Amino acid sequence: MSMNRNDWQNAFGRPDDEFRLHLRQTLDGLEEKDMKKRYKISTVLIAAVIMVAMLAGAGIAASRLGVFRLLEYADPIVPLQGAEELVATNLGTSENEYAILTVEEAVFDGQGVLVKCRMTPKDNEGYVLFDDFMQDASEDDYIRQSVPVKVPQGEQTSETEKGVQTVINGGERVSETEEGAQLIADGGDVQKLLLDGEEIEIPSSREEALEKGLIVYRMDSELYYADFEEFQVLGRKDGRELMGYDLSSSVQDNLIFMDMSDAQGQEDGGVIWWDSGVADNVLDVDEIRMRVSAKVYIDGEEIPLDEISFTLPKSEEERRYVFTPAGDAFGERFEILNGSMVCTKVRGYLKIDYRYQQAEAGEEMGIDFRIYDADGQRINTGSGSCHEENGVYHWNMEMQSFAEIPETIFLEAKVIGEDKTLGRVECKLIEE
Amino acid sequence: MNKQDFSRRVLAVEGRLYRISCGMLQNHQDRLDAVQEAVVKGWANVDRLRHEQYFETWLTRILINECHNIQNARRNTVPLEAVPEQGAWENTNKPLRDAILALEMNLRLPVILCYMEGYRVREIAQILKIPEGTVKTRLARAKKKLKLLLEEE
Repeated sequence: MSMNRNDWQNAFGRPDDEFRLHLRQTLDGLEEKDMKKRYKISTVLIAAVIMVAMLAGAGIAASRLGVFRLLEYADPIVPLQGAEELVATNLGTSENEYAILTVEEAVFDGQGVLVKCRMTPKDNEGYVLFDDFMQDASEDDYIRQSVPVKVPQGEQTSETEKGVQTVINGGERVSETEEGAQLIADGGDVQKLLLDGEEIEIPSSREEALEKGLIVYRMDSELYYADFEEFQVLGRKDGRELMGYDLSSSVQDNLIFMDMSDAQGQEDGGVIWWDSGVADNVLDVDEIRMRVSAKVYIDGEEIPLDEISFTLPKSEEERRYVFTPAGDAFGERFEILNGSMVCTKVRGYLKIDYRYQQAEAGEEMGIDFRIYDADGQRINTGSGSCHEENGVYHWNMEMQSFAEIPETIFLEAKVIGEDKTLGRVECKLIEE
Repeated sequence: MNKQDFSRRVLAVEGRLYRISCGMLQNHQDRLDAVQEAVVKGWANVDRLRHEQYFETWLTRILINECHNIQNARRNTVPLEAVPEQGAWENTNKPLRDAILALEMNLRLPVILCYMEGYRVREIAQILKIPEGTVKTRLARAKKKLKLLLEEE
């Protein structure tokens, strides 16, 4: 596949007029304080039957090390010996009539936090927790296919190569409201397809509709779009029903923004879910307050579980270092200004401030750094971020921690996406 | 950031908001709802955005969350209230669109963010809240699948 970005973007094309108008109307309405109330939000019925119980920590021991899972991706970061002893366990349980949520493990090391939760359906012979946003659906276990999309009630008009096609499905009134044109279904059973204003027969199969260039077809008294199908995970091959879920964690006062999560389905129909966040700097606190919230979806209903709140003490005193270039701070078109490193038993946190001049051609994605010790061994880095401010780039990255801090590290500047190195700078580490 | 700046920056990424919502939601009205909610939430929380240079990534993430919320709410619920999108998708690459939409969501989003919107793996990891290694794996799997799907056309 050799396509440029324009080719890719042409899959969906440019925003249509309705989208553009709607966005501008939304922006126009932002000044009004109560504007959020004016907008219709897609609705779901919410049933809130919540029961709280505290359960003993069943199964904790077997998964004790699991909280570090998010460090194991990409270039793995291995917690130092003793890190597992810092992990707080069995931090709370919540349940509703369908599922049980347990915050099994969490650790806060002064700058970063890791959380591991487990949610299990109560009827695990009847249900499997699944969220296609977070999880893979293997063909061995899941039924996956494209499914037809029903035409909603109301009147809809489309300009097609065949002509202007109008579908009337169960109602045909359109009403102008403060929020714009609204389709109103009258609940009737009228089903019509008009081509350039003339009623035509509705195809009885998708194939027929596609062959005739028509936008809908009728099957079992329902209208479906012809050239528009939705890919779905339909269910489980073992017959268990899918139960959707949402899980999220947060740190009080937004001291740390939780920015990475993952989930893994379990044989018992439950999921193990991980979340991770890193602050920009070591926090000047002895503990943080966290919340984990969850909800499940049954038959389209959103059913929350009670939020779990807990306090996480800072697990250890971090070791802080600054580094400065030992010699030449420059490479090809970049300059290391300064940096710092924080080490805990869980992970390290590296900050590099640098200047960089992009090449005249290429290098659209800038540069990244690889870290080496004095023996030339690469030191793994994990997730992080980089932003530019007044010509200075600030690179923040989680990294492998050290039991013994080296005197020297080497920063190698690599062009992202290209096999091109701009230089290597030796830096001396000094304890703060 | 004042309202004028906010609006200007939102309009600058209008196409991106549109394409991401198209990639995640099949229903046109749902897309309008998702983008509207994302913009409203973005404006309500813009003071919490510590670095304005992250604006696009930040808004993208809010939009994805909104789309995700709508997907969850829609799961197992039909019919949808919508207007059709056929007209809006004239003169577009239908085989590619079909192939992208045929991907599972966890493969589809990295593809849209990477190839369509030009985000780096690290940024995609931050937007989707998944590890960078997972992004790379999913991109590789998605590309392989897309190739097969497009060859079938």
